[in-house]
Amino acid sequence: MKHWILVLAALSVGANARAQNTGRLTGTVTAAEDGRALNGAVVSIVGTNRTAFTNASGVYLVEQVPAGARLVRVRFLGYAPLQQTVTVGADRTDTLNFQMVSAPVQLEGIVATAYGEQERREVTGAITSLNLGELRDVPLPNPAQLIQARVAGVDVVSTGYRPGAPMNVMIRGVRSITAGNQPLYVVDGVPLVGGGIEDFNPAQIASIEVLKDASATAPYGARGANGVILITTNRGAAGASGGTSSFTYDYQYGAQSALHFVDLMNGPELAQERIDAYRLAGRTVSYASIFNPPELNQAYCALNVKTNPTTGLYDTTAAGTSTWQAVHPGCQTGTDWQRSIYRIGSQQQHRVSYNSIAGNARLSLSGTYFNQSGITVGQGFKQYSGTISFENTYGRLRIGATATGSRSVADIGGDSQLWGEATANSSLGLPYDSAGTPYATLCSVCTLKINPSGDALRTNPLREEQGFIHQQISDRLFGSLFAEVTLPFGFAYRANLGPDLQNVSDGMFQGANVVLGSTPIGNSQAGLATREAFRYTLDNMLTWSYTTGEHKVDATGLYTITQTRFQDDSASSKTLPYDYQLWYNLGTGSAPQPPISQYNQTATRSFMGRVNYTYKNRYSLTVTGREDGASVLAAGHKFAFFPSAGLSWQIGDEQFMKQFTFLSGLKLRASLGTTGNSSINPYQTEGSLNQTFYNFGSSTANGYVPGQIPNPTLVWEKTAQLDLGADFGLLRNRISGTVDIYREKTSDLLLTRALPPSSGFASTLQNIGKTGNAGWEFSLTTVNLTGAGGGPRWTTDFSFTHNQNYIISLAGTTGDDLGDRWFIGQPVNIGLSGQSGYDPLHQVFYDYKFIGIWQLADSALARQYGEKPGDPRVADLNGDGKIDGFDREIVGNSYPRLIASIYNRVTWGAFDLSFLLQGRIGYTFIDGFRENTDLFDRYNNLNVQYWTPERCDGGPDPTKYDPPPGETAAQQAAIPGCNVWWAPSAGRQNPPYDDLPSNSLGSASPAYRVGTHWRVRNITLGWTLPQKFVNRVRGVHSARVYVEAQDPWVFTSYYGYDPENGGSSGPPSYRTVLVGMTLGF
Amino acid sequence: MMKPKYILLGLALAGLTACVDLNEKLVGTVTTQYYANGAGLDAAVMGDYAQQRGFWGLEQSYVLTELGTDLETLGDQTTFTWFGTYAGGLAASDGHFQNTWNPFYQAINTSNAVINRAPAVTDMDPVTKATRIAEAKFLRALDYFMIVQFFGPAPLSTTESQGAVTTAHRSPVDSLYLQIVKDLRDAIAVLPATQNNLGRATKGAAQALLARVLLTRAYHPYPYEAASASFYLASSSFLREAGATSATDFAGAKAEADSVIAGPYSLLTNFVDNFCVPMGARGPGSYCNLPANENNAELIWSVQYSAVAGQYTVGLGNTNFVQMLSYYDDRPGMTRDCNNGRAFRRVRPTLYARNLWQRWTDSTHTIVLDTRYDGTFQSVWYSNAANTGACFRSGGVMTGYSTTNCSFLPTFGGNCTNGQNFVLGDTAMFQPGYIVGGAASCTGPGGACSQTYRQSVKYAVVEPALTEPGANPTVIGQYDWFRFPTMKKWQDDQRPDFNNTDGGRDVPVLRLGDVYLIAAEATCAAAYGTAACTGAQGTILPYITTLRTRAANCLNRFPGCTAAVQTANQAMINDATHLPATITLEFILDEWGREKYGEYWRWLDLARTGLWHRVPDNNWQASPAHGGFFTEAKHHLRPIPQSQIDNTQGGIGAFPQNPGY
Repeated sequence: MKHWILVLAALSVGANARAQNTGRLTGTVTAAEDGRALNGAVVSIVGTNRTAFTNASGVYLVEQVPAGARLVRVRFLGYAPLQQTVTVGADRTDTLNFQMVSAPVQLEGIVATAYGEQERREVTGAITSLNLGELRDVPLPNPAQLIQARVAGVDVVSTGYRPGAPMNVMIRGVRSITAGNQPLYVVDGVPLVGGGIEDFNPAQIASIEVLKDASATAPYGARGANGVILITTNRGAAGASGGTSSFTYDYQYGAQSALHFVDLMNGPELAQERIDAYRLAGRTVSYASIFNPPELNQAYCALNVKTNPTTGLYDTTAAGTSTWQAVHPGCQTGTDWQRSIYRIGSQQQHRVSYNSIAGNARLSLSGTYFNQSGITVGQGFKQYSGTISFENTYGRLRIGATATGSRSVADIGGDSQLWGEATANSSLGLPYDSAGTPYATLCSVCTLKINPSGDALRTNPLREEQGFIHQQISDRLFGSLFAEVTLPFGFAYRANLGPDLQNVSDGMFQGANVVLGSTPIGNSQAGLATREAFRYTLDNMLTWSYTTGEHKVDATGLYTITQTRFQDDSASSKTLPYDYQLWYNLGTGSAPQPPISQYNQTATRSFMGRVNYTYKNRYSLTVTGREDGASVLAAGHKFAFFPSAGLSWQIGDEQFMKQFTFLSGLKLRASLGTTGNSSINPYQTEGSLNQTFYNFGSSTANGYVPGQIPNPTLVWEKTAQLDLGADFGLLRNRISGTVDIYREKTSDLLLTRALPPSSGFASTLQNIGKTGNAGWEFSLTTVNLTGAGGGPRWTTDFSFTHNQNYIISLAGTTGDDLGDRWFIGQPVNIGLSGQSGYDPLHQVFYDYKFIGIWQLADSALARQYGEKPGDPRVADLNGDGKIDGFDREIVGNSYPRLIASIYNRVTWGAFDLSFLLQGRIGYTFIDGFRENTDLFDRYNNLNVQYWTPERCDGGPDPTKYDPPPGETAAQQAAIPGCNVWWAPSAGRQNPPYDDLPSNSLGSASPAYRVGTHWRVRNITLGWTLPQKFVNRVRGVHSARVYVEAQDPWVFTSYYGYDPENGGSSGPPSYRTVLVGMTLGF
Repeated sequence: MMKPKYILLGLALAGLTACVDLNEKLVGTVTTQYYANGAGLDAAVMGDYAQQRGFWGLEQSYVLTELGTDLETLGDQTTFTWFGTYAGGLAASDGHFQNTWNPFYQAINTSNAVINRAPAVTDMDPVTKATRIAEAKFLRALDYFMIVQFFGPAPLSTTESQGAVTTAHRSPVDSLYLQIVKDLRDAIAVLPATQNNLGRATKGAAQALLARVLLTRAYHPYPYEAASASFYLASSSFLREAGATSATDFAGAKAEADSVIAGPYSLLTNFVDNFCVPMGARGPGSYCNLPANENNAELIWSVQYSAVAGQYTVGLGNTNFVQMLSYYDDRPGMTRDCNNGRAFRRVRPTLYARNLWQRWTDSTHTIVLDTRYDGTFQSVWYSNAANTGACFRSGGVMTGYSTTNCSFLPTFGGNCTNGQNFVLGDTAMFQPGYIVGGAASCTGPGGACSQTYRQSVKYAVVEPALTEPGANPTVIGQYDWFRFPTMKKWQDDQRPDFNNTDGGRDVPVLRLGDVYLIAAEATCAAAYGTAACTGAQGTILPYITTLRTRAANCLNRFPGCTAAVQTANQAMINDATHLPATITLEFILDEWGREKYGEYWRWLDLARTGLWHRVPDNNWQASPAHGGFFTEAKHHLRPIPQSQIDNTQGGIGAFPQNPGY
């Protein structure tokens, strides 16, 4: 680090050499309401490039200010900008203090926009800025969580609950069916083409802007359709003491626990269900045939049946004098597999940062170490990241660079499959083998069983946790370099280079006898996949600013290219000689698998022009046009033009509005424009052959068959968008807010169109169809208590998002596409359950209507449908006497009707408290848990009521269950439990496992759930230590300690792990409670 | 210090002049341009063969052809039980139909690509090119033949799909057959008698397939086709080539079959050798004299599989070895291994099937008559796991045993000390398919004789249930839903591990044994519709007795089978007691069952002959009298997969479903 400072100093000296007659300007910036020091306010000398930031005490220092009368401007997010003239003397230090008045961020201040920044007043687009001053107080692991529940119109949802799992971010719903719906992230002006925002540490982020409408996103043209999230990383700030450097250390430690477990059958419940199921299927004769040998004694115990005193085994003939329970007390509950792979997780983070200003040079360094163990045994996530940011000015030239490097190590293990194993394993199985006794608690030498219940497809989760290792190491090196020169006549030129290198090494090891999912392997195998992506963006930008009288013009011209090169290769081998090599010595495996490698390259070339014009500081117009060309599209269709225009009117400043004294500000906005989506895979236009594998005798005969239909006409997906918005402030900005309504239409939809398979192809990618989005967003900030006079300051942010997504038209004139679940007027369905590309958050459910269970009284009717009592019953909607594809209906969709959030923040003296509550209201999801493990006799089941025939009464009786043909009363009586365990079935809703289910139609029908949940996202309480305490420690200037709870509660009626990400079967969602401290030196 | 403005100027120049090429260069991708040359055309033909693996050897092949017939019913682990019961789930939405339909049509499109593009290929010698075209026609004929048998009227195209095709319509059954016959006759004219590559179509393969096609077509039109001709047929009557009739089809089938029988193929001495790959013995008749015997003199054409990495798609090997196996791995002395297989227990023989083979039902004879039973089912399991159970424990806790061996129980194994754990290699389980001790002397489970015998031999003896349907199939005998004769024809011990389902066994689609039966049936059914065969019984018999004589071969295969015993056996199997004087179509269908059990044709045999009564008569789970749902009026065809209807422009109106579905 020293070295860097020297370099900077040298550079500064070079710059200083030319400075003459300069002085220094210093002062403090405080909040007008409560006198609080404002940390990070930008002070600039208008007409020069001299700027400085305030430190934690609100002190700034600008050096080398040309002597004379200077206009000084100060800006800080959340406060109205101020400017004041001061005379700076040569070779002396002048003082100028500012008291800033808070103002809604949506009304005043500077805002980052596409390829630049703008006065908020002049912005015509829908842009939400986040007040990061507050966000910094709430440490979060993923940058996407910074905007989660904070920005109207943005929906951020976890993709899973393993440590390090990425987040799914959607802005104003989905447009595309196949081309992806994730927004574009732009970090320090460089588009993050490959995504992966989770590689950046949130603590390194200085500000976030969310660009939502066409006026704001059109400068990104073909990539702007899904909205844009602008991220600016930290630059240097002045030292804590008003000096030139500061040093901050932040530490936090937390513990994690599961929010919820699922109620599965314990030993007695499962044993009883199994007996009922076998009985119904007409096959029960003895315990030995119902239960696998390893379960048998557990079942005796669970059911408390008599056992032979000599052999200890169940014996129908022996006069039982003892029971298994009596011999083995406590054996009856069975194994709780969920808790066997669960632990209390932990999370910790260290972060150091150094900021320095020397003359015009700013330097920022930071490093973060994050380590989360997670609540699933074997999982974990570590991230090491560092950022260096530097900026300096040499006369007319400003040069800067930011480089971020990170390494993330995710231990994924079996993840959801492991939880699937834990929930599916029979509670009658025992985890350990031991000599003489089956009970883990009693065994002295315990070895883990392979198949605890004797079922060859269900293996021991504890063993799999050890035998299934999946580790993903991601390295990312991301840079942004720029040079900017100020030219005569208001022109400026800027060049931007953004290289981005991403490397993922994905190792997977499966030990012998590990059966995850349904791919049992029987011997050890390992594989290593490496993915490397290199991308760069090169921008050339010419800007022109011109102000004359009431007219202000800013114009931008841009030429930009991007190129991406992607390669991946993987190797795997089976039957490894020893396990501890994992995937690091694949050559030793006796069954190496064919290596796989892949390569692709894409490029884009674009021109963009934009003009912002403001008249009388009241009327603003933005016109943008972008011409985009992309290699992934067909020849002759590669280029497309994306125009947009936006208008804004500060109507609140008009004379005729002055009579409304309650109104402190009102701005109206309107924008219209087109953006695009080019996120299709390369080479799709060419058509391709698929390799096939074959052999003639022992010789290889691999061939090629038609794979993809060539599509020489693929063009951009285009989204036209109209947005009307208003930003307002009321009662001296005690209440402020933003309302937007919008309507979007996406046409030339890139659609994987299902074809009749008789053509030899199942589908092709085409530009067909249109989708629409219509919605509104409303956000409101109230200042409930101003903090005046040193009292508490309490602000509340509300945000409400409603988006209606719908399909306008599809391929040709055929209307609905049943195969893909695309219906005119309904939201977009992305992927089908159980197939690749399945997106649980964007589903339209089209299925049979579940109306209960066929009852005995309906036997005759059931038979007409090819069904029988006990089978699930679905409605014959068209009444044609059979259940077929035409009896399906739209059951619901997974799109929430409303997303709402409430954020409260209270500061009082040294204390700050914040509280964020979010609700997702009115969506349907498929209960994956119910769907997959519902009453299947080999595995464990949800602990639910189930259907049984009334009882085994031995004779043919139309009102009673008809026993299997030929069964006599005597035979029935010999069946264990006949007339003893069977209860009348009245009111029971769920079918037991049935050996001969009549069909699988509507097997998912009972699994649809209406979801509405409220979630406490986080609660943070912080205490900034008084200076008199802090100052007792040498070198420490500031200190804050805090307690935070992340996701502490979710309020839902769903019994599974979490409804948010579509009711997946695990791992469970978890809460984190952490404590932390921040020290400034 | 370097002048910043030069840095900037450099940057600006670099930036403004930087350019990227927006044309895509294919690096890792192959397009249809590849088909323009010989190597590409060859690759297309190999791909065409590979696409046969989309049906043959995958789950849909046995589900659609074996389960729910008169011979095969459900085991305890069947998940798609409606194929056995014909319940409501046997509908268009069941994936097995789509998984049959789609691969066949993908293969048809590949064949079309080969046939359409071949004329433009110049860098290939003309003879090879003609052969490749003929191979593509053979495969296309097979694809359409399977489609038309399962689904009836179906889309017919002989041109490669260029671009997205969104329409489809159902071509009549007879026009599909016209194309099939034409393709096969074209192929026969060109294909060589042998090919350099095993697995490529030969003249004999095309002839054998044509024989089966003509035999099948000869039965058309069926009553249901005649009743709604507009749906099934191109005109009011079944259209054939000029001059062709049902009778000439029967005659043609026989002629093609005779030609194949005269050809370069010959029956193997022992039936079981057809299914022999290097593997451990599985009971009498299993000893394999011909290791690695997949490509043998009797084989005409098979879909090739391989266990060599890179010769199969992972997850799509031949999986059918697991489906028809009985539960064994929980028995004392046994654990799951490659040799004995991964028992999915999805298909088990019906009682009717178990009694199909003519065998002795008691202990007075050394061997059974028809060795095809033992060639089909496994009867002995040898202990493969130490410390998993004690001998003498069959049938529960033993209180004592006799050392007197019964002569008819095999005396293998025996290192196990009484009451101690099995020693590896000991006989652990014996499942002969008949009641040990003879029906007369055995009084059922727990009967004195049977119990004594069992105790005497250390291993478990599993005996059949003698009746079905029954309340619980286990009440009499020891067979039940999960213990039944285990079908070993497709057993595969070459997999890397016992749970692996990527089997490498070939699927024999056509073998000489079939051709004898095709000839017999064509002769018999020359005038279709009569109860007994109308062809001269004397001309039918040689085809049948040839197979039956081979079935009686036991020399050196069964304990006690000498040359004299074999000769006696061969005479007996064809004597008046065992071979009726009048051969009927029903008898020929029985013979198909004995010869071809589990070989993916049974449902099609029933569909061809129309002897659907055999399903409810012989398969109680399918029978409406016992809670099953089989209806001939509906189930003579399979449903069109729902995705075909949904994805066709115009939906159900443009692409109607089969009646009843």
